[in-house]
Amino acid sequence: MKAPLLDIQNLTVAYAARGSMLKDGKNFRALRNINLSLEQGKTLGVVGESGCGKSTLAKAITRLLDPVDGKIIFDGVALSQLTGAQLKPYRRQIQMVFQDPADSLNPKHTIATILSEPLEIHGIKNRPARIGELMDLVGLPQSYLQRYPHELSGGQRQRVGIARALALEPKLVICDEPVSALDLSVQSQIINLLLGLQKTLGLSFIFISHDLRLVRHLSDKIAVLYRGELVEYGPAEEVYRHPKHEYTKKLLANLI
Amino acid sequence: MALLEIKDLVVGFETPAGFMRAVDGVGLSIGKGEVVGLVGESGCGKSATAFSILKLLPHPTGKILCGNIIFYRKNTATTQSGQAVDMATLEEKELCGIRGKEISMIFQEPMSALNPVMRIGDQIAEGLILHEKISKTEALKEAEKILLRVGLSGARDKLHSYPHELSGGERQRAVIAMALICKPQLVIADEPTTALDVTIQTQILELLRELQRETGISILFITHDLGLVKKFCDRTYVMYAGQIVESARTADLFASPRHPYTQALLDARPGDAHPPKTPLRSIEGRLPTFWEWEAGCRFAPRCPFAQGECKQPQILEQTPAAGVRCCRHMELERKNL
Repeated sequence: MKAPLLDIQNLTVAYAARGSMLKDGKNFRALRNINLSLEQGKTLGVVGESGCGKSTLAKAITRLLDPVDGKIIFDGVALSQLTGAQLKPYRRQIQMVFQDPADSLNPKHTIATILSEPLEIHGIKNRPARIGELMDLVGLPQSYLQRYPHELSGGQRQRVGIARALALEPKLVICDEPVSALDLSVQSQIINLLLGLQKTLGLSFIFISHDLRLVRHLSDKIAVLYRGELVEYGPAEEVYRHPKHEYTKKLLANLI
Repeated sequence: MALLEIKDLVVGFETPAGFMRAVDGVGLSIGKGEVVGLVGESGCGKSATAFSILKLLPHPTGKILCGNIIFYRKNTATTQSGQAVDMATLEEKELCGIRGKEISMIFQEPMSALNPVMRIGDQIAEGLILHEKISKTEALKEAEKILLRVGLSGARDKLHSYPHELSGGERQRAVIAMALICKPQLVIADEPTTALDVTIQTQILELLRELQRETGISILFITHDLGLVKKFCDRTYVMYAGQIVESARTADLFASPRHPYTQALLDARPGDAHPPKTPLRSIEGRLPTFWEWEAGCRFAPRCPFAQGECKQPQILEQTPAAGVRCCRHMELERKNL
């Protein structure tokens, strides 16, 4: 069997506690002993309610947060052991799409500037051509390059967010609630775009959402987080049709 | 029997880019004891419609340009039961007697609907003291009763809590208590569960439905979520670009949606039968802003069934139970598209 693209072993992530109750050096452990893996070209769905640790997981994988314990192995390399400059080549390969494109795009930059920034940082030549490709990839007209984020609709802004994430040809894209800020009639456009990109580019996705039905639609495997613990993990259809853990059953019962 | 009737309501806002219409000739009615849903996506005018009822539009930019909002009042010292008033033209003084007492509101974000520096008990009792001229001690007793009723555990202690000491679900329960304490006839709930987690969301909806059955109040439920409407509302209005495009009993709306927009919205969510990882039916394009509204059907630019006749202004064809604003609906229903 081929080694998975991403292998997370016993991951524990903690935040320094500020409250008086926990002053004696104890930390708040937002994720405890998480074990997950993801194959190339597949999607791992992560569901849970607010505070369950879904976004912490994304931050740990992108090394925006340092884990206190456990390993994150990406493409055969233990990312959790790397520091600073050693990490840079991997930063290209793992990218994020954020929830609210209105907040995650710099309002003072044109779309062209936003898309060229990651290319500049990683010293990539022939930037205008690559930017043009990216616009085609996400279905935006080239004429939008000179526009500012506020001149675009929510769905178009999220397309820019996706184009930016794809600029450096990553292997893994982490989508943190990418459609929950969008109107329903626009959500399905973005979902279809993500599905299409996965097929043509062979991308792997981690799709984080509170919406179990959407996660099931997009994912090969589903992980259910509850209060920092992985309570259920398995093939998407299996988790959706025959949930084992009480919490997953509760989530399914509350589907509207 | 109708409790509230909105007729030809037009609402607009002054914006830096010019005057913008948000609501364009909306009519809707709410019966006594009825739960009515008003659904639509952002900017369709659903919230502007709801805020017009209590004249809570932002001042001075928001204006009711024309239309009537007829409300049938309950029996009080100064009014007779069933006396009709037009909220659209009512004096501020009279409005104050209705706001919170006969029509109240539950807002989306409980954290911003509550005063952060005032104790929960005082906030809930405030309305009662204002409208019923009773002592603070008595009002607080009533507040405790209603907090118990909305299922807030440890109601007595919670009276003395500040909003930040409560969880999101508890805060929304407190907001519901506030809306119900004066025993209003109509509650307007503007996305009351959007800010909550799914498991809490169901609890809050069940609570609202239970309280509604118990007290026989009417509820106008504003949401973007068709799933919530299906679970919660007796009758539903669908809005698009400032207009009602379809209205029907909720069960009928879901069983056989008649407007292409309603159909498309229902199909845009993956259903249980939808094969995973296959494209969803999407609605092309985006929501039109006021400046992009068509003279004809406003959904036509995104509608797969649009034809020449759709360039004509569309009329809302109405029967007492239902309405649809699409000139091709008969033909499309026959073809069963």
